[in-house]
Amino acid sequence: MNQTTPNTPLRDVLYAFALAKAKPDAELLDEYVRRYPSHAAVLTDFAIEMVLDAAKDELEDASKPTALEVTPTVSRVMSHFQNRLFDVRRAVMTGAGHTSGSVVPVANPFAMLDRKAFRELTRILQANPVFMAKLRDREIDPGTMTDGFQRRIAEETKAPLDLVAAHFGARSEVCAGQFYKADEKPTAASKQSFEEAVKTSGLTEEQQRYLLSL
Amino acid sequence: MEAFEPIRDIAARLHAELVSTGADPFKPMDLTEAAIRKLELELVWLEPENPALKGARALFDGQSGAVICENSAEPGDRAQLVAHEIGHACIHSSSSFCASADIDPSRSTEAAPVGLQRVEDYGARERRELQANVFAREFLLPRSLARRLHIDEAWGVTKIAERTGLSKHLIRQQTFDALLLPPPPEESTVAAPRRPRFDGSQDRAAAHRDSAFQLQAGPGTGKTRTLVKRVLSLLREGVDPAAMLVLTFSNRAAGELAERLASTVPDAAPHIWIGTFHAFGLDLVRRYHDSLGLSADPPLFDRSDAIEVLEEILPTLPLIHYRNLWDPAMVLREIVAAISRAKDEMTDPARYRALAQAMLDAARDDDARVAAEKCLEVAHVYELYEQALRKYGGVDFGDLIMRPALLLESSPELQTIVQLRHRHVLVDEYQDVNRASGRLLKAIAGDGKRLWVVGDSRQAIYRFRGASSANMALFSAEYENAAVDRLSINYRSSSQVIDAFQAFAQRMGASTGMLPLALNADRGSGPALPQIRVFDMLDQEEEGIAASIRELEGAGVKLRDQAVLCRSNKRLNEIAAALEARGIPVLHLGSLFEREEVRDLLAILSLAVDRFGDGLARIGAMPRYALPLQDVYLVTRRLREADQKALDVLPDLASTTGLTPEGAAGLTLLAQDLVGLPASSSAWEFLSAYLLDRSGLVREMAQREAITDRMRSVAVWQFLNFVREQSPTRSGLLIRRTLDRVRQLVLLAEERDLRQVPAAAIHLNAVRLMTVHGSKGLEFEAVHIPGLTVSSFPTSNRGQRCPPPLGMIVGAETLTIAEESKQSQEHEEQCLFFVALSRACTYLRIYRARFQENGNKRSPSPFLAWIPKERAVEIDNPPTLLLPPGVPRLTPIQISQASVDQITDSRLSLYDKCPRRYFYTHVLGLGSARKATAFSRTHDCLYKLIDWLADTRRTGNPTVADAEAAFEVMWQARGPTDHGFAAEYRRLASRLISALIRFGAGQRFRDSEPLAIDFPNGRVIVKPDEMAELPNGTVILRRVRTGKKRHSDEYDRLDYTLYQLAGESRFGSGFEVHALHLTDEISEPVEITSKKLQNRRANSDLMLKSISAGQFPTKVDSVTCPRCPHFFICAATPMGRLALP
Repeated sequence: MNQTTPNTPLRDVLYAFALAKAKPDAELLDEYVRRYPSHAAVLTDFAIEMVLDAAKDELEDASKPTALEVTPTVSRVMSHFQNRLFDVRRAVMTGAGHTSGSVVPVANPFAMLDRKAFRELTRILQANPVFMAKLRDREIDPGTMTDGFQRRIAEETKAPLDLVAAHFGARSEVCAGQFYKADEKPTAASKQSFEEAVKTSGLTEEQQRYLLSL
Repeated sequence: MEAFEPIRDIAARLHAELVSTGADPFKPMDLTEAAIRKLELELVWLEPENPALKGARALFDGQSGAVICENSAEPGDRAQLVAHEIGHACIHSSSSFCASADIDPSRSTEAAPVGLQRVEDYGARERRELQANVFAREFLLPRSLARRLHIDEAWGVTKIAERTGLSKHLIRQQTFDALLLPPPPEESTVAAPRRPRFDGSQDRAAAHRDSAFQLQAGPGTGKTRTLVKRVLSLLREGVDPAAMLVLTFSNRAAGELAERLASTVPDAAPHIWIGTFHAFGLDLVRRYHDSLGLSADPPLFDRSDAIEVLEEILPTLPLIHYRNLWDPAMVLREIVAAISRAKDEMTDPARYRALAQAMLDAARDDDARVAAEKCLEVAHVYELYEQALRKYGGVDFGDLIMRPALLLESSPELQTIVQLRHRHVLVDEYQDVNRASGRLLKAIAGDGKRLWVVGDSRQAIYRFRGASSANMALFSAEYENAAVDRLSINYRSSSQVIDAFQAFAQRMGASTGMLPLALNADRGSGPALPQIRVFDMLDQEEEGIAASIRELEGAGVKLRDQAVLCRSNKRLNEIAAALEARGIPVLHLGSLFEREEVRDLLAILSLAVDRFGDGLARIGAMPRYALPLQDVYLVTRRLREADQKALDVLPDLASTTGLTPEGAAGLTLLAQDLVGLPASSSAWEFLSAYLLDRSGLVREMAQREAITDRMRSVAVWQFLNFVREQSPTRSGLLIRRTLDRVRQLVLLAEERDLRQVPAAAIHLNAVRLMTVHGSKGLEFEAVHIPGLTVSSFPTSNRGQRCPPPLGMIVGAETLTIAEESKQSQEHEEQCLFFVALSRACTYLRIYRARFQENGNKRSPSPFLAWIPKERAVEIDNPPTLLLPPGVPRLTPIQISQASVDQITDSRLSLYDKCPRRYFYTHVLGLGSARKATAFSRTHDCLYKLIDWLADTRRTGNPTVADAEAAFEVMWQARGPTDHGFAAEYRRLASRLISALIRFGAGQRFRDSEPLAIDFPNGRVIVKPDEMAELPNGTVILRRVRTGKKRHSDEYDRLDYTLYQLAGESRFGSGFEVHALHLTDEISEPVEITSKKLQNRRANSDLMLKSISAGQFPTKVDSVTCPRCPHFFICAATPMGRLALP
């Protein structure tokens, strides 16, 4: 974990986190959150998922012979992480919506914009806050977006195209779900098609025409 | 200042600014659109089902600065949605997501602190939503506007709703807030917070890392501040606020901490989980509901729900020692408390049974056997109760801690997950930890490396929840390498006050195992030593407190900075009345449902559901209606004959023959005020319409400014706030449910939290009156503590009705149950006195009286001897403040009656129990049939049978079979044959019938003739249940009771004395009085000493005299009053004479 810096991409952070200890604990999680505060929520969810996976694996391991080359722990962590990476890549390659229930942490190119910048981007795209929130919160099926649209987003947010694609491909996020209480998490809806998203965002005819032309 | 006031201020200013620039205050949409423009926000409307709303009705996107809102509702409602989101934008600046449950701009600023409201509604998120709701309400209809419209323009709610399109709920709540709560204080009345210097002990505690840490924080040492410092230091280190869990034991503490953190770290605070153990337990229950076999949102059962569940299955409960046929709720109340206590000790039914069985196995004498059998009974009820809870899929308060604790203990995986989520645990008020919360905490905090707790064992005053100071001392044993430290500077009190409570602390049981208390006074020396003021009589104590308060006021201590702290609510009420009578305003609500203005509203409500209209007996006394007593008598007679709903007959009552013109006018006005209000609506809607649209009573109240009047308004506000909440488990007419709930809450003593004065009234310049329990966490410039006499403070140990099985209380295994109970009671009393002493900043005054009312000596409290002589000055017979002349006293009711020369024994007994009840029942003839339960119906059948037997035995000798046959006829006609457990009740009746016959065997019964006793002031007629003759000619007068024999005081009841006196006057010495108790099958002679007999004879005569003189004072009793048919009308009486036919 010493090789990582605050600007390290999230996937590297998680990779390092996954390998740092056989089983994540509060100390380790605190340490990573301290270093990467913007990923606090993702790291916490990731750690919890590792615990759940480990429990599941332990159940399975009990009925399997132990591999000789690597310790079961390392093997488990590696396979856990590879699975995650595969999910991300698949999302990027195919533009398919995420289907499994687990967390795929992907950086959000919209997250760092302040209100002024966000509104400016809204204006440039001739969109409105509802449509922009759908883009930010990954609510549109990337498979239904044109390449041109994704390229345009990458251009305007000054983010690499594969990051933008990974963003759209990741699981929908509920932006306001910051208050962790079991009964109050709004559920993320299934993804809309690009056209549907344009049509149901309260946009004017003109705005709709423009966005669909990109 | 009240926490919501700044928010209201922002909202009202925004409203005023927009109106001044042209927005129309009567067009809410206009206002909200103007606000959107002014705040440079964006507003987007979407169809309700639009997925972008994600099921919310409205949301605020902090990043884009947009309010996104569904466009379905009417403009007024839409404005409310938008205004709520503007509230989030203005106050919180971060995104919000508001489902329909979140947006209710009519929501009250204070949750009614009864039942389940105690658990919910205190989280940071709920608080944000409430703030946005209050903002919306104040923005759309500022209180100043509501006041102007209702008072100056005399607009009712309906008119305001028509003109603005706002919901009536919002307008009502806002009008109540504007008119019933006192206006907010001027800025200058709010004391600036003291800024303590650098404090090494606080900073050291805040900075502790890498092991469990317990901070022992004496009074006034800044424990909350230290906890906030700890949070700040963690945040500075980069700890994720969402990883912090701050737990408290009281909602008040949770609310205060949430406020403090929100003002210190506004960005981080909403992410920190702050709340009570119970609220956190509920969160865990919801998170892991499937592992617990519960639904996602299981119904929560409070104590009255639990009793209701048990009442349903009552006949199946195997009760012998705890059997109480007539009044099962009273026993169930004790058993439910015992079950709750078991859950506090993590004892499930199986363990409870095992412990009880072990007791039985080890029992060597009768007492031990009975104690064990009682525990086994409770164990059995506990099992059935848990089955019933499971059937409903519900959880109770105890489950909220015990079930998550057991779940986490059994699942290392879940434990790890919870520990990862909540990595830094901070606990406030740690002295209140009990076994269950301690185990839950252990499961969350694991090795405790990031656990930080603060508390003061000397302030452990929640013994009934299983909290004991010993738990605090066990911390080091629970957590390896735990560090323990203390705070050393007191910022509150003068050195004299500190010296006094520190000296007391040295002898406290709660000091065992704690670091010694060694506080330095930050404020240095004060102007005076604590005083102990000694009087002869209790009345003088009240007069002396009044004088003392005025004296300190003269020395510059404002009334609002003085507090009277009492050990009991009863004494508090007496002192409150004494101070008010002397013109000293007090901030004290007392028992809410016993206040006159609240009872007026209860009586109004009762008219909606009581067809006999008994409420008129109180309503007639309201100045607005001013019905003469005679008129009330006439119309209540008429209502009884009419046999229609009282509200339907109301318009015709003014034409009742014989009414005075004033009475007719009052009834006409009452009809105008009430007719047409739907009896099927909720109590809140019914009363809101009555108060705001019809009677204009709130308008009148709002214009009175004396503090006593303001307190009346506050009481009405508090009551309305209470009736807004409906219990989810009951069925039937809503108003009936509210009235039943009031009785139930009083009976179970669950209404205590409603005595707490709402925050919006705290700034009134009046002396604060509260129990010592209620003063926890507060401080006052001057503290007055009355009643420091033996058995008042400390109170004597009353023992436990339902003691736990031996071995259940962990840590007390070496003591017997009685010893444990006694010891913990003693410790708690000491803690209470310590809390009381340490509330004082500068002036501490303790009071006591030397003599009892009967002239016997009253010893000082042993606690006084614990304060060394040089630490407090004793003053004998200090100044008193006498009652000013002309203060009204209770005047007798003038009654003329055609014949009042005799009275039955049962009526005299009723007068003895409560003269006022006698007046309502037998003079005015009020009292609808009591709510018939299966028990009361069985009981009534049995009394019919006793009458039948008395009659039949004169001529024959009925067998059990005869009696059964006769009873069966009565049973079919009147018994609870339609009840689910009819067979059980019938079996029970058979058992009692057989006892009744068995105990009559061999006796020769005679006609049970009425016997007269002549007193100087009248004649009493006694009709014995049974009269028999022994072979030697001795007459037996036998009183038959279906229940059990009460303990030592059974034969002190007046009934037996009257039997005795009647026997003497009829038979001279050739008779005996016997009693037959059917349930425990005891028949025995009644022994009454001649002295008692003499006293009661004199007393009976005195009662007869009082009845003739129209004297009907109330006898308030926490158990009988809430079950009295006249509970809602007592004790007001209309003016004038009463002439009875």
